[in-house]
Amino acid sequence: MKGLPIALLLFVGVGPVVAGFMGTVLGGLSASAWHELLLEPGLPIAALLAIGTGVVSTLIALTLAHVAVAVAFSRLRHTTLRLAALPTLATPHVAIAIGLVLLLSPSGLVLRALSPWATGFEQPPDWATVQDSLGLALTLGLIVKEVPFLILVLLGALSQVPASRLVTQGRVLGYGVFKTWFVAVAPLLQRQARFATAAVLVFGLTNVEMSLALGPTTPPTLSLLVWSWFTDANLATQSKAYAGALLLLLISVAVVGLVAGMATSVVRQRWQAWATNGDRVPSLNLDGMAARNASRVALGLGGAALGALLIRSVGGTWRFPSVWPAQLSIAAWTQGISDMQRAVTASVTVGLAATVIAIGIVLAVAEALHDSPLARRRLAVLLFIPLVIPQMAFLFGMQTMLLRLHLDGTWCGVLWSHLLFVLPYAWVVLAEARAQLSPGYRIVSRTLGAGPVTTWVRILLPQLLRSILIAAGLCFAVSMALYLPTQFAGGGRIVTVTTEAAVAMSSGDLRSAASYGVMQALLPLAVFAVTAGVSRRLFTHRQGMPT
Amino acid sequence: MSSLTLKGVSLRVGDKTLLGPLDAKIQPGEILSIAGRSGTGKSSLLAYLCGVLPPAFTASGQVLIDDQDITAWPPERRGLGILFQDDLLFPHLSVEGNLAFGLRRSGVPAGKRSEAIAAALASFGLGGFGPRDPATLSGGQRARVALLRTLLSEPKALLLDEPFAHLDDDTRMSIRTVVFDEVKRRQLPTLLVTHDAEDVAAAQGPVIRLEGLGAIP
Repeated sequence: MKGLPIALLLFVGVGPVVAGFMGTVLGGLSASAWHELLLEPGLPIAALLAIGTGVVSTLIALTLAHVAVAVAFSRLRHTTLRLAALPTLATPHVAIAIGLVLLLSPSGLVLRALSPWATGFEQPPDWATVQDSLGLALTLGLIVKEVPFLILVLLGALSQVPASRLVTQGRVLGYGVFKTWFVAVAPLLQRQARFATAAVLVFGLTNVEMSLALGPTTPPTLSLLVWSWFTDANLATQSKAYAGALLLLLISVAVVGLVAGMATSVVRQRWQAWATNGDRVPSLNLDGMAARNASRVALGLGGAALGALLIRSVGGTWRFPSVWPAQLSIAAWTQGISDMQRAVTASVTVGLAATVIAIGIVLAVAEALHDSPLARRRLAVLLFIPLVIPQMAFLFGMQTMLLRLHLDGTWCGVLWSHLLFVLPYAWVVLAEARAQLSPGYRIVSRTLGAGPVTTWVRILLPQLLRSILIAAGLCFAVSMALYLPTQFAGGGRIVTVTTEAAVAMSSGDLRSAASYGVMQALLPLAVFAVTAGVSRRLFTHRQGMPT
Repeated sequence: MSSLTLKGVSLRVGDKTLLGPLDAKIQPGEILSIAGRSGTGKSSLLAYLCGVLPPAFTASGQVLIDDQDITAWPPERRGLGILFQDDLLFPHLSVEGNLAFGLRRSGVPAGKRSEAIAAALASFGLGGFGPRDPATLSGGQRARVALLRTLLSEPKALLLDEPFAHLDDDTRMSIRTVVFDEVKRRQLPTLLVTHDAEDVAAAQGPVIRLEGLGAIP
């Protein structure tokens, strides 16, 4: 009985990753494919762009997230910070990228606001402010999207760490709150956040959805190059794509290893010297630091990108340099209404199904493994694989697998591909929540005469309800954001608001892209609002409930 | 009135014997104390008696209530009540909800359950506490509600896992008195696991001291 849910979880959540990875390896293990790959003229630059944007954006995002959390803690403003991070977290990468294009491009809102009074421009300048050849816009986009994610991961880790007592201890010894924080608390948080950091780094190195809108074009980043080969009908180009996916994997493993190694040697030595130098005043004061304002800007840009999407989606004629469109028009919403409906239906049905299935499977497994921490840790490592290796490394092969099962281009195929990415998030929230319930509740309930099912439904499930609601919001948002898995499994026959937004963006139809972007943000935020509202109304008179 | 009998009970982790073999017959109203430092398998013994021993352990022996062998029975059929050092009141239910979960269906007619619970609360000096959130109660009040919840399930025997350890000094004495008085009044065979010499003395029953293997990982 116990083994059944675990077997199901492995089959659904891990099987396709292993099978897909094997498929990619088999497809990419040909000398001629590698020969062609390595002869590709733009390859070194494309690889350098991927590494540069990925590493720089991750390091900056991580720093800003730590600073934001430290400042919020020192001022008891966790809730404000969590709320500030939520909109950008819930909004998919593609939508944030489109929003940033609307803000930062030469005809974007920022330059409009400055023209002509400050810049003298009557026409949009011929600048490459997005898709610049150094990948700066892409780096910024990744930072804006990843800062909120890392903030929420660190805030989550905060509950596992006796932060208040540690800080009090440090202050009693004469240190300022921020030095104490970065000596005693931040390393503990970072330890808990190391998987998330690796996932952010790998996503930065290998993403397609942000590079599409913000990244350089000649050559693009390596992942975009590989993706364009894969979509090429030519078979020879396809085997080059398989080899490229393997190269992406090699680069990711090497970079993650290198960054982790540098962090443990260089950073730790510096940090240790600083932590043990006995220097108390002033040592570190974040209140006036640029990093603190930068983290505010990062969060603000996310919100501004959402605003830009909304305005552009209802803007009619809109001449440069007006900051506001000459007339408002809902044409973008009404013209493609049937396409929009189809995409929204697919997004919502896949998202809800993935959420319900993932939560169901994870609850069953969490129940079976509630007293086996070692088994839980091992399972977590397996489930996290799709998040810490490049998506293309197993999605290429997974598509072949779906083809054999006649699931390619079907709703079920897309659902399965989404589950690979939704399950680990459901696991993170629910497995720990279940394990933290005292084993005594079960024993007491059983000895009071309740059977195992009654015990679970009446005693354990109510105590897990809040965590289930949190997991539901998160799972739905994750599913909504998935671009590559939808493309691979859907094969263009199943389209979601995310794939449609990318298509509109690539074809240069900014107004339509903006309307899909708004929908991308709206759907997960609506689900978050519902789950938060229900959660607030649950057990309002019960202070002892786990939160 | 029933008795609780342990016949040759021993617990092992792998091939190491953690505890036993243990033989004891606890008479109605008698409190058998099992004393020993932590790590001697006291709590595992109680888990075994309840039928919820983690799979890492193996056990042999028999548990009987009167002459009925309950060793293989599921926990909910054994008719044992257990109190832990944490009161383990269900945080999502009111005090009345917790007690109603304990109160058996038999005996009290459906329409009278609420009344029966109110009367039971009053008899424990907790009149009017039914609608309260358990989180708003004091430690002593919570301990009494936990005891009451167990008693309402009409157990045939009582297991106590250091139930007074988390209480402050004044409360500990009064709760101990309440629990032991109920044991005598209802003639419950009781097994008390503790490392507190005062508990053992107050129980006024036979004592088994465990040496154990030392620390168990």
